[in-house]
Amino acid sequence: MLDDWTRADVPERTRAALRLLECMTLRPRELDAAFIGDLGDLGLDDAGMREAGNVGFHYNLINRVADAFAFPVPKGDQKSRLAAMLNLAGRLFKGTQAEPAWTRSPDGTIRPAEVERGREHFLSAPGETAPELRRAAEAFAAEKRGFPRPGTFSLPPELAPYLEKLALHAHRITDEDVSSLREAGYPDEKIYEITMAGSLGAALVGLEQLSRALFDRLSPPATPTDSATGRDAGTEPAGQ
Amino acid sequence: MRIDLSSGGRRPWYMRLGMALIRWRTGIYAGPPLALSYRPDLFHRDFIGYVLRGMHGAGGWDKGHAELFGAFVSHLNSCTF
Repeated sequence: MLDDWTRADVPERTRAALRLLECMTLRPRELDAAFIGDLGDLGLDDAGMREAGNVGFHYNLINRVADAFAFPVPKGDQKSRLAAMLNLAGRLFKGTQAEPAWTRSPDGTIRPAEVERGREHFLSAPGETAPELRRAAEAFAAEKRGFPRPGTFSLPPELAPYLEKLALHAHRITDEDVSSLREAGYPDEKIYEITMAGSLGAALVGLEQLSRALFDRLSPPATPTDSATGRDAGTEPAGQ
Repeated sequence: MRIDLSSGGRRPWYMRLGMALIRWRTGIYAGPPLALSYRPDLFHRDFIGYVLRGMHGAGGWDKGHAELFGAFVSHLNSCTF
């Protein structure tokens, strides 16, 4: 079914969501107002796009983290036990739709408000690495996926091969890749932060494209949010 | 050798307890909470709430849809997780 999703026996709305997720993951450049207009014609409403995009972002992030850290893969009844426990934890901690739904960052990028807060917090919080290094890693990964961040970033060259693999082919990361970072002087705590920053940048580009397309199509033009000042709440798109 | 996320980091005691409970119940460490709880100081509460909301069904999708979407994206990324 996952290989041949275009002909799978699923409702058209679900197939449209799969089309959205494929575009976010493999061809984010093509995700524009015309593309989401086509999805709308297939019966996928804006809230459906937004929340399918949420899952798409989550997995584009966690897939890279899983490959970099070699997450154990649950087998047999471990899957159902794990799902039950994570389901319980998720019910306890899941959030509600933020108001406003969208935020414009200082560089003009539109993101879900919770994601913008999370990104800024991650990139600016005190850590084992300097915030400038995390920003550079995030920007490098986004650029490798075809979306350069505005501004100038200074990434140590020894990090580039690892971050490029993380952004484009995370499933090819090996023990040797991680060992080479340690040999270059990066302790595990720093490798962790660099990995999370790169995964975030690579995963965000598809969500940003979707957010921009939805925001541009549905929002009045005069009320972007400025996340730096918190003024001018962005507008919840109509039809939610 | 990859980073051992099951120890170290800045995981507070209640998160260590939660991870241990999951491992005791399932026989395996759960990757996503293990990774995010390794350095909880880096992750804004709203960000965690956002991704959890999607995984529990929203926008007219149910949890089964969310799992299908997740499996699909993992497939596209050639990720076995």
